[in-house]
Amino acid sequence: MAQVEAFPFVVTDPAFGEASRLPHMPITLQWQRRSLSISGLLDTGSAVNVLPYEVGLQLGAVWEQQTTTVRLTGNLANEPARVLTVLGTVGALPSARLVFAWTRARAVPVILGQVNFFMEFDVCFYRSRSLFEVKTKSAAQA
Amino acid sequence: MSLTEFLSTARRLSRADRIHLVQCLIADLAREEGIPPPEEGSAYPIWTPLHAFEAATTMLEALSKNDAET
Repeated sequence: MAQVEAFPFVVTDPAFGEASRLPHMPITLQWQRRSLSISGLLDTGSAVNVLPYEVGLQLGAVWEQQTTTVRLTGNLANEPARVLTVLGTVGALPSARLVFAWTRARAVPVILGQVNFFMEFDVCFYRSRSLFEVKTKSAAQA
Repeated sequence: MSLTEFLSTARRLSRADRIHLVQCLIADLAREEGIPPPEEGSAYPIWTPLHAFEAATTMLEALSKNDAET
Protein backbone atom coordinates (compact mmCIF):
# COMPACT_ATOMS: atom_id res chain seq x y z
CA MET A 1 0.00 0.00 0.00
CA ALA A 2 1.27 3.45 -0.87
CA GLN A 3 2.87 5.56 1.87
CA VAL A 4 2.61 8.93 0.18
CA GLU A 5 0.36 10.39 -2.50
CA ALA A 6 1.29 13.55 -4.41
CA PHE A 7 -1.20 15.93 -6.04
CA PRO A 8 -0.89 19.14 -8.05
CA PHE A 9 -2.41 22.45 -7.02
CA VAL A 10 -5.35 22.89 -9.38
CA VAL A 11 -6.13 26.01 -11.43
CA THR A 12 -9.69 26.78 -10.35
CA ASP A 13 -10.31 29.76 -12.62
CA PRO A 14 -8.59 29.90 -16.03
CA ALA A 15 -9.10 33.66 -16.09
CA PHE A 16 -6.71 33.99 -13.17
CA GLY A 17 -4.36 31.12 -14.00
CA GLU A 18 -1.54 30.66 -11.52
CA ALA A 19 -3.16 32.95 -8.98
CA SER A 20 -6.17 30.64 -8.74
CA ARG A 21 -4.35 27.42 -7.92
CA LEU A 22 -5.78 25.66 -4.87
CA PRO A 23 -5.05 22.34 -3.15
CA HIS A 24 -8.01 20.38 -4.46
CA MET A 25 -7.57 16.66 -4.05
CA PRO A 26 -9.52 13.65 -5.29
CA ILE A 27 -10.96 11.62 -2.43
CA THR A 28 -13.42 8.76 -2.25
CA LEU A 29 -16.05 8.93 0.45
CA GLN A 30 -17.97 5.87 1.54
CA TRP A 31 -21.06 5.84 3.72
CA GLN A 32 -22.58 2.46 4.40
CA ARG A 33 -22.52 0.71 1.01
CA ARG A 34 -22.39 3.73 -1.24
CA SER A 35 -19.20 5.48 -2.32
CA LEU A 36 -18.54 8.66 -4.21
CA SER A 37 -15.39 10.10 -5.76
CA ILE A 38 -15.21 13.83 -5.31
CA SER A 39 -12.75 16.69 -5.12
CA GLY A 40 -12.02 18.09 -1.67
CA LEU A 41 -10.34 21.37 -0.80
CA LEU A 42 -7.56 21.05 1.75
CA ASP A 43 -8.26 24.00 4.02
CA THR A 44 -5.88 24.32 6.96
CA GLY A 45 -7.84 27.33 8.22
CA SER A 46 -11.04 25.36 8.58
CA ALA A 47 -11.73 23.96 12.04
CA VAL A 48 -13.82 21.14 10.59
CA ASN A 49 -14.52 19.06 7.52
CA VAL A 50 -17.57 20.32 5.63
CA LEU A 51 -19.83 18.29 3.37
CA PRO A 52 -22.30 20.08 1.09
CA TYR A 53 -25.90 18.95 1.28
CA GLU A 54 -26.03 17.39 -2.20
CA VAL A 55 -22.95 15.25 -1.61
CA GLY A 56 -24.44 13.82 1.56
CA LEU A 57 -27.60 12.95 -0.34
CA GLN A 58 -25.58 11.30 -3.10
CA LEU A 59 -23.94 9.14 -0.44
CA GLY A 60 -27.39 8.01 0.60
CA ALA A 61 -27.43 9.81 3.94
CA VAL A 62 -30.79 10.93 5.28
CA TRP A 63 -30.80 14.36 6.88
CA GLU A 64 -33.47 13.54 9.45
CA GLN A 65 -31.54 10.48 10.65
CA GLN A 66 -28.42 12.46 11.54
CA THR A 67 -29.35 13.79 14.93
CA THR A 68 -26.15 15.43 16.16
CA THR A 69 -26.23 19.08 15.22
CA VAL A 70 -23.35 21.54 15.03
CA ARG A 71 -23.18 25.27 14.51
CA LEU A 72 -20.68 26.47 11.95
CA THR A 73 -19.19 29.93 11.57
CA GLY A 74 -18.73 32.50 8.83
CA ASN A 75 -20.90 32.18 5.73
CA LEU A 76 -22.07 28.77 6.92
CA ALA A 77 -23.33 30.03 10.28
CA ASN A 78 -26.83 30.57 8.94
CA GLU A 79 -27.19 27.06 7.59
CA PRO A 80 -28.02 24.08 9.81
CA ALA A 81 -25.41 21.34 9.93
CA ARG A 82 -25.37 17.80 11.25
CA VAL A 83 -22.60 15.35 11.96
CA LEU A 84 -21.95 12.62 9.40
CA THR A 85 -19.13 10.09 9.71
CA VAL A 86 -17.86 8.47 6.51
CA LEU A 87 -14.89 6.46 5.33
CA GLY A 88 -12.39 8.50 3.33
CA THR A 89 -9.82 7.10 0.92
CA VAL A 90 -7.04 9.12 -0.67
CA GLY A 91 -5.41 7.35 -3.60
CA ALA A 92 -3.86 4.11 -2.41
CA LEU A 93 -3.44 5.25 1.19
CA PRO A 94 -5.23 3.34 3.96
CA SER A 95 -8.79 4.58 4.50
CA ALA A 96 -9.65 6.72 7.52
CA ARG A 97 -12.88 7.57 9.29
CA LEU A 98 -13.68 11.20 8.54
CA VAL A 99 -16.26 13.18 10.45
CA PHE A 100 -18.04 15.93 8.50
CA ALA A 101 -20.26 18.84 9.32
CA TRP A 102 -22.99 18.07 6.78
CA THR A 103 -24.42 21.45 5.91
CA ARG A 104 -27.67 22.32 4.18
CA ALA A 105 -25.65 24.75 2.06
CA ARG A 106 -25.32 23.63 -1.53
CA ALA A 107 -22.79 26.00 -3.10
CA VAL A 108 -20.01 25.17 -0.67
CA PRO A 109 -17.03 23.01 -1.73
CA VAL A 110 -16.15 19.83 0.11
CA ILE A 111 -13.78 21.18 2.75
CA LEU A 112 -11.16 19.02 4.42
CA GLY A 113 -10.20 20.73 7.67
CA GLN A 114 -8.47 20.27 10.99
CA VAL A 115 -11.15 18.00 12.51
CA ASN A 116 -10.47 15.54 11.43
CA PHE A 117 -8.81 15.31 8.01
CA PHE A 118 -5.57 16.87 9.22
CA MET A 119 -5.68 14.65 12.31
CA GLU A 120 -5.74 11.56 10.10
CA PHE A 121 -3.43 12.63 7.30
CA ASP A 122 -0.16 14.54 7.29
CA VAL A 123 0.16 16.99 4.43
CA CYS A 124 3.17 18.83 3.05
CA PHE A 125 2.48 21.80 0.79
CA TYR A 126 5.05 22.77 -1.82
CA ARG A 127 3.26 25.75 -3.34
CA SER A 128 6.44 26.92 -5.10
CA ARG A 129 6.30 23.63 -7.03
CA SER A 130 2.49 23.60 -7.23
CA LEU A 131 2.19 20.25 -5.51
CA PHE A 132 1.39 18.76 -2.14
CA GLU A 133 1.95 15.38 -0.57
CA VAL A 134 -0.43 13.45 1.65
CA LYS A 135 0.44 10.55 3.90
CA THR A 136 -1.34 8.72 6.67
CA LYS A 137 -0.43 9.49 10.25
CA SER A 138 0.63 5.89 10.77
CA ALA A 139 3.09 6.19 7.91
CA ALA A 140 4.41 9.41 9.46
CA GLN A 141 4.95 7.70 12.82
CA ALA A 142 6.77 4.73 11.30
CA MET B 1 10.84 62.09 -10.33
CA SER B 2 12.98 59.09 -9.46
CA LEU B 3 11.66 56.18 -7.39
CA THR B 4 13.88 57.27 -4.49
CA GLU B 5 12.43 60.79 -4.60
CA PHE B 6 8.92 59.41 -4.90
CA LEU B 7 9.35 57.09 -1.90
CA SER B 8 10.79 59.92 0.13
CA THR B 9 7.76 62.05 -0.72
CA ALA B 10 5.30 59.18 -0.19
CA ARG B 11 6.68 58.45 3.28
CA ARG B 12 5.83 61.98 4.35
CA LEU B 13 2.15 61.39 3.60
CA SER B 14 -0.30 60.59 6.35
CA ARG B 15 -1.01 56.96 7.18
CA ALA B 16 -4.42 57.17 5.48
CA ASP B 17 -2.93 58.65 2.33
CA ARG B 18 -0.22 55.99 2.22
CA ILE B 19 -2.87 53.27 2.44
CA HIS B 20 -4.84 55.01 -0.29
CA LEU B 21 -1.71 55.20 -2.44
CA VAL B 22 -1.11 51.46 -2.08
CA GLN B 23 -4.75 50.71 -2.92
CA CYS B 24 -4.53 52.90 -6.03
CA LEU B 25 -1.36 51.15 -7.21
CA ILE B 26 -2.85 47.70 -6.62
CA ALA B 27 -6.01 48.70 -8.49
CA ASP B 28 -3.89 49.99 -11.40
CA LEU B 29 -1.89 46.75 -11.57
CA ALA B 30 -5.03 44.61 -11.38
CA ARG B 31 -6.62 46.63 -14.18
CA GLU B 32 -3.50 46.23 -16.33
CA GLU B 33 -3.58 42.46 -15.73
CA GLY B 34 -7.26 42.30 -16.62
CA ILE B 35 -8.25 41.27 -13.11
CA PRO B 36 -11.63 42.76 -12.21
CA PRO B 37 -11.49 44.65 -8.91
CA PRO B 38 -13.80 43.69 -6.06
CA GLU B 39 -17.04 45.58 -6.32
CA GLU B 40 -17.88 47.79 -3.39
CA GLY B 41 -20.92 46.57 -1.53
CA SER B 42 -20.77 43.09 -3.07
CA ALA B 43 -20.66 39.98 -0.90
CA TYR B 44 -17.84 37.52 -1.49
CA PRO B 45 -18.49 34.23 0.30
CA ILE B 46 -15.73 32.74 2.39
CA TRP B 47 -16.78 29.25 3.28
CA THR B 48 -13.96 28.42 5.65
CA PRO B 49 -15.48 27.87 9.10
CA LEU B 50 -12.73 29.56 11.07
CA HIS B 51 -12.80 29.08 14.82
CA ALA B 52 -15.72 26.65 14.72
CA PHE B 53 -14.22 24.94 17.73
CA GLU B 54 -17.50 24.13 19.41
CA ALA B 55 -18.58 22.24 16.29
CA ALA B 56 -15.17 20.58 16.10
CA THR B 57 -15.47 19.38 19.70
CA THR B 58 -18.95 18.00 19.09
CA MET B 59 -17.70 16.20 15.99
CA LEU B 60 -14.75 14.63 17.80
CA GLU B 61 -17.09 13.43 20.54
CA ALA B 62 -19.46 11.97 17.94
CA LEU B 63 -16.54 10.23 16.24
CA SER B 64 -15.34 8.72 19.53
CA LYS B 65 -18.84 7.54 20.34
CA ASN B 66 -19.17 6.08 16.86
CA ASP B 67 -15.82 4.29 17.18
CA ALA B 68 -16.82 2.87 20.56
CA GLU B 69 -20.02 1.46 19.11
CA THR B 70 -18.33 -0.25 16.16
